[in-house]
Amino acid sequence: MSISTVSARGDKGRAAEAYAPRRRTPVGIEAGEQRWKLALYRGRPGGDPWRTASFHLEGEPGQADELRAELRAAGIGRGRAVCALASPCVDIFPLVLDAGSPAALEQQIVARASEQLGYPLAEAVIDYALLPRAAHRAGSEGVGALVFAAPRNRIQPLLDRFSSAGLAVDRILTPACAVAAGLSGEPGVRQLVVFSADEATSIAIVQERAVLLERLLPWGLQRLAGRLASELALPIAEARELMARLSNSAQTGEPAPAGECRGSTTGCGPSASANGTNDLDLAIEQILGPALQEIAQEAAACLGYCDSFLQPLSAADALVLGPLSHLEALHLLLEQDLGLAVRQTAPPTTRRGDFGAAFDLAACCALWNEPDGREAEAGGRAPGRRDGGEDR
Amino acid sequence: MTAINLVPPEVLRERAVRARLRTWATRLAAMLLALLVLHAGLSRFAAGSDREYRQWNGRYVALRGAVGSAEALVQERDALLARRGAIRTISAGEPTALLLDLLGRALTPASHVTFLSIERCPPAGGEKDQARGACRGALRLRGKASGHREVGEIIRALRESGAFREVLLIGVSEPMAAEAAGGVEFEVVCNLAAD
Repeated sequence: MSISTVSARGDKGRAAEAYAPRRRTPVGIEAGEQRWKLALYRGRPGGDPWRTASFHLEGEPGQADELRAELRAAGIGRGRAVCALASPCVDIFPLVLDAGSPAALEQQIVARASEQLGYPLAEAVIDYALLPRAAHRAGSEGVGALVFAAPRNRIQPLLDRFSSAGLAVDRILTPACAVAAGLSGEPGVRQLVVFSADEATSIAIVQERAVLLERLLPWGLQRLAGRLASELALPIAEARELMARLSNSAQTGEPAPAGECRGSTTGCGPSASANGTNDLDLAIEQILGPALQEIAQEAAACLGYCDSFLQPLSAADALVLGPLSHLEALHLLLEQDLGLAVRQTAPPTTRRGDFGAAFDLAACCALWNEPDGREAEAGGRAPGRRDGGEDR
Repeated sequence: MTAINLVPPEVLRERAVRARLRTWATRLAAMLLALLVLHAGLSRFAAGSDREYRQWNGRYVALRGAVGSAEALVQERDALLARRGAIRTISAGEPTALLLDLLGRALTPASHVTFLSIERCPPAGGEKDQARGACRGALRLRGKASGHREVGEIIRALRESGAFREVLLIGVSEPMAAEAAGGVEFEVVCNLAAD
């Protein structure tokens, strides 16, 4: 087991530069169990500043050559990388610890984490972030920490595969950690952030760019497309395309195209009748409804749980990001269940390119800056990895 | 911002060690390359210097040989000049035989010479001194005569010979031993005339 420490927040001024593009940005990776998306920011004047590539893992490892070829074709070379692990394999849980030295905090985390994890502690990679003092309950002397744990046997193969393709992953984050760094971070404002990645949906509570709580659900674009494919008897590729177009049509206000409705008993698209379109919408709503409902319920639970151990504060709004951010049904559910105004916001990264929402998370990772060493937590601890992380 | 990292620390440590090794290896390689370039440059420079040294050394040996032969010539010349000077001095002086002949004719039958010396200018520099008139030869003689009249005759005869620039009587003395016989001792210096 290894604990690597700390990150703690609360300094709004410096965090505003979290997405400031650097001279040489790393490759950003959204890594799921089966799909990887990569983005590299090349801030050259003229032309598309982004290079993107997606890679679908099939079968056993050993596709380093293919991955390399894919990266070369996309104009992404070797180099450093920052990865967001968009997978439900990451366990995230908050702890309230007794105040003490970093070593004492880590001892408490080790002791408490072994109770929380469903596998031996020795097989986990653990890191934690101290929560900002502003989020703590008034008068509380405890220290809030959010603990992230992932099975080592998931992390190591990932690193090996990227390494064999020439990418040295310097940092592995969760989707919320990657996205939160780019939010406005107004003081005293708590936000619900829902980011639908390819294989998972991250639901997070964010305050002043610090993630207070995060949950990773197995519902992502891939699984929703799978459900559509099975219900509508579509090939998975077409179902994915339909999902993407549903999002786009929701964005532009146009109906879903006709070609994607093969197998549907009702017909759809511009050539279909208005009733047909409504029928397809209804059918899709029925198919995707339970998953979207689960997302909304989990969001409500997160908000409630957050208020139970931190200073209660109503979330100002809900930000819906990622490939599914345009789904009307998701917006409606969040508004109805949570009573929050839903803002459909693209991460700041997308302002620099035009690749749609598919590579949002990878782009956030590519522009994710290392934290400033002075950015210490309210408790006065200097951030730093205890066991070698700072050597890089 | 929440800056967690789920990369195992040992991986980061290993990577840092590798990076450090790579850095040092690169530095070492760069240093070796620099040393090689330096060595090549110095070798080339040394080869050029050696070639130049050999050339100059050859010229120096040749010049030294030439200078050595010139020194021998100079020494031979000096020796010849010394010989010539001696010959000139000898040949430029009054012939001794002539002087003795004049002296013999100037002496009276009752007088005789007890000491005779001919002083000449030294051979080296003599030529120059003679040219300036600083150095003149002289005939110094001492003798005995029967009386003062005879001494006067001898001096007059020497002056009349014309071989001397001047004839000076240095002194006439009458020794106790010679007094009984009526004789006197005299000393005369005859400065030789110029060449």
